[in-house]
Amino acid sequence: LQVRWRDLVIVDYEVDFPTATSYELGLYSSGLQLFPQVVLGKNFAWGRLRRAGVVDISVFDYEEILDIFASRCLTSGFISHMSTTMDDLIGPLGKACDALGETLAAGNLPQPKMLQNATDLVERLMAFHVLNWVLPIEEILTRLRRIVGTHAAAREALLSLIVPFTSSHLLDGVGPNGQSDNARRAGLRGNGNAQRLAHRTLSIWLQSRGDPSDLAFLTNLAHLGRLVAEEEEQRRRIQNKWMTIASTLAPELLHPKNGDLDVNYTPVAILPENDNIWEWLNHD
Amino acid sequence: MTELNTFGDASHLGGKAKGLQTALQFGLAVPPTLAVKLPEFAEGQSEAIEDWLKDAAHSVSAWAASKQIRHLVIRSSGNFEDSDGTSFAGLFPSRFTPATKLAVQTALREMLHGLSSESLEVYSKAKGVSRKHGMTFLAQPTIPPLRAGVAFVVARGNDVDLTVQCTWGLALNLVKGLVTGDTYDSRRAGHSALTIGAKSLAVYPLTCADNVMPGNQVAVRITQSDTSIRAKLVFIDEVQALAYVRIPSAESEALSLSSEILTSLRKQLTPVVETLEVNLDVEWVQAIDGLIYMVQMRPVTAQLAPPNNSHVGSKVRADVFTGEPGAPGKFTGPIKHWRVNGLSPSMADEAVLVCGGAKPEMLPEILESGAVISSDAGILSHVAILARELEKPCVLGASALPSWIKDGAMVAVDGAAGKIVKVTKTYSATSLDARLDRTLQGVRIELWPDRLLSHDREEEPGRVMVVLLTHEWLDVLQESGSLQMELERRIVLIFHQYTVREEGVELLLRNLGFITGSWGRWSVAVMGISIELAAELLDSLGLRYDA
Repeated sequence: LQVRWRDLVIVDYEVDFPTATSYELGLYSSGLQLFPQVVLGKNFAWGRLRRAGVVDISVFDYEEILDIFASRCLTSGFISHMSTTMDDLIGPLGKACDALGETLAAGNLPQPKMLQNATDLVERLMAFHVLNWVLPIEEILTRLRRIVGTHAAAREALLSLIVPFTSSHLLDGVGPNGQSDNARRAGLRGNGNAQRLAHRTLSIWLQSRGDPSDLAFLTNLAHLGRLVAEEEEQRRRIQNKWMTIASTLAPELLHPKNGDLDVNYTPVAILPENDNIWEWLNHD
Repeated sequence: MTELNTFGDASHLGGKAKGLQTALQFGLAVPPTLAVKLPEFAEGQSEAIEDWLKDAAHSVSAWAASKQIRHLVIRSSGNFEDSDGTSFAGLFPSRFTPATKLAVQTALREMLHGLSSESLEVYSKAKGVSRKHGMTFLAQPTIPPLRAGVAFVVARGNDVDLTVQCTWGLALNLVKGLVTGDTYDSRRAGHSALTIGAKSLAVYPLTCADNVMPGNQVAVRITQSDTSIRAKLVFIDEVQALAYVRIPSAESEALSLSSEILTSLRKQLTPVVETLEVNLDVEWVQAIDGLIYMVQMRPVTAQLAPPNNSHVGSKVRADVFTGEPGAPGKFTGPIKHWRVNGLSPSMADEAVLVCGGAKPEMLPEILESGAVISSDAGILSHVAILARELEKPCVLGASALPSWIKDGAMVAVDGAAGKIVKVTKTYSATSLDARLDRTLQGVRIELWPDRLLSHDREEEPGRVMVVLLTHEWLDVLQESGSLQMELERRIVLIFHQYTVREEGVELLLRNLGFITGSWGRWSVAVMGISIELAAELLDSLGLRYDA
C-alpha cells in the first residue's frame, strides 16, 4: 500500500501482508530501500525506515526513481542488465540456501560468514520485488493501444505478456525431478509457459503492422514482461526457502508482526475527548 | 442563513432541510444545522459567485466557532431532490471539511461546481425535473461516531418494515459501498433477519491531524465505555479531514448493530411514518455519548427489492452467480464493464453494466444499461437506490465475479433473486468450419477480430471488413438492429466461437480455414471465406451478397 500524505509517499507492507512476520516485513522494506542501488546503480537508499514494513519516501525522491526506471525499463540493455543482476543473485543464493540447509540438517550451526553472505544476497534480491509496481503501466498501455486498437486489447496484450517461462510458484509441490506435483496436476508440461508466451508474443507482433519502432517496443516489452513475472516466481521460491532456513535458526522470527501491540507505544486517540472538542454535543 | 429549528418554515430550503425539520418536529435528535441559501446567479457572474462564497464561508465558520464546532459536513438541499421519486442519491455527495473559513469556502466551491456536472444533467433529464432553482447548503457538525448507518422504514398494515445497515465510524463507506456492514431486515424470519458483514475500514472526523500520520496506530472507540481499541490509520483525507482506519479483524467481524439501536430507531421513526403516511429513508449516527442523531431523512424514492434468504455470494452452479438483490426485474443482455475515461469496449446500448462502487460519472451508462451488477454492497447503497428508481434490475455485492462475467458475455440478470446466469445460445448454422470450403478469390478483406461496432473506424469504399464474433452476439445484434446497420456499412459478420483474445491469431485462422497473406500491414489478404456462409447470413436478413 502506498499512501501519499503531505510531501511523503508512505509504503506500508503491513497492510499488504497482514500475516507476515516482522522479519519478512523487514525484508520487504529493506529491499525497497535498496532498489535504487541494486537495480538502478544509484548510491543512495530510497526513503527512511520508520519501522520494519513501513518506509517513508519523499515525493520528490519517489518520483525521481520512478522516472529513471520508466526511462530505462524498455531498453534492451537495461532489461539485460536487470536479468543478469537477478540471475547473479538467485544462483548464489540458491547455493547458499542449499549449503545452509545441509549444515542445519547435519546438526551443525553455520559459520557467521556464511550467514552474512546469504543475508546480503537475500536483501539485494528483495530489491527486485519493487518491479511489480514501478512499471510505467499507463505509458505502456497508451503505446500498446496505438498498436492494437483499444485500451481493452492493450491491457489484454500486456497481461498476456507478463507470464514467466517457469510455472507459477503457487503450483509448487513436493515432487521429484524438479517438477511439482501441483504443476503436473494443472497440466503444465515442460516449457508450456514458454510456448504460450511465444504464441502470445507472436500474435501481438502480428498486429504491429511491421512498423520497426513498434516491433522493437513489443520485443522489449515481451522481455520485460517475462522478466518481471519471472522475478516474482523465482524470488518467491527462494524467499520461501530462505524463510525456512531463517526460522530454523531463529524461531522467534516466525512471530507475527502486524497487529502486535507495542506496549511502549501510546496510540493517539482519533476522537480526542480533551480540549472540549465535542462541546457542541452538550448544547440543546 | 437560517438555523433549523422546530418551529421555523424549512419548505423553501429544499428537501433535506425539510426532512431534518420534520425530524426535529417529531422530537428526534438532529445536530445543529445551518441553512445557507444559494442565490440565483446569471451566466458569467463569476465575481458575484466568489463574493458569495467568501461571505457564506465566513458565516458558516463563525457559526461553527460560536458553537465550538471544529469539523463540519456540508450537504446539498435542493427543492428538486429528496422528494418522492427523485432522490438524486449519490449525485450530491456530502462534503466533510474542517470548520475554518478557507476550508469551508473550498468545500462550498466544490459543491457549487457539482451543480453543473454532466451526471446531474443526465439524471435530471431522465427524471424530468428541473434542478436550476432553489439550492440550499446545510452545514452540520460532524458527529463523533461510535457507529452509523442507514435505515428504511416502510409502512406495512399497522406495523412498519425496518431495514437497517450499520458500520463502525461514519456511514461514508457504507453508502459508497466500500464496506458491507451489518444488516437487519425485519422482513426476514428469525435469525436470518440479521447478517454480519465486513467492517474492516472505518472513517472518522480527524481533529488531531498534527499528531498522527498514516501507518501509525491509533485508538478508536466502538462502545460507550471508555475502553478504546487499537487500530491502524491507513489513510488521511486532509482536504476533508477524515481518517480512514483499519479495524482489527475481531472488531471488524463483530456485530455493530445492537437490539437497543434497532429498538430506538423503530421507536423514533415509526410515528413519523404513521403520522405523515410516508415511508422513510434515513441516515443516522450514534455519537460517542450514545445519542442517535438523524443526519438525513427523506421519503423512500423506490421500493426495496424483496428479501432474499439465500446465502449471498454462494455459487449454486458454475454458470450461476448469486449476489445480493438490489433492484427487482429481469433482463438478458451482454456484459459491459464500466471503466474510467470511457474506455470500456464499444457495445450496443442496453447492456448489463458491471461497475464498482457507485460514482456520479457512471450515471450516463447506468441510464443506458438494461441491468446493473455492482460491487457495491448493501441494498441501501446509492447504486441500488438509483437502479430501483430507474426500474433497472440490479445485483449487488458482486465484488468477486466469476471469470465468465466478461465483456460481451451474454447473461440473464434476475435482480430480485440477486442472480446472474450465463446464457449459452448456439446459432442454428452449426459446424461453421465445415462450410469453409470455398473461397472468395481476390476479395481484399480487413480482419477485425473481437470487435462489434465499427463506426469509430474510417470507412473506405469498396472494402469488405470481417468482424469475428461469438455466436451469442447474433441474437443481440438482430434484436437491436445493429446487424442491419453493420451490413449496410459493407461489413461482413462472421460468427465463430473463437476469438483472437482467447486463442491467438494462428489458432483462429487455422480453425476458420483462412490462408494468410502478408502480415506486414494491417489489411490482411484473406482467402477462404465460405461464400455459402456469407450468403446464408445475408439471406437471413433479406439481403443478397453480390460477389
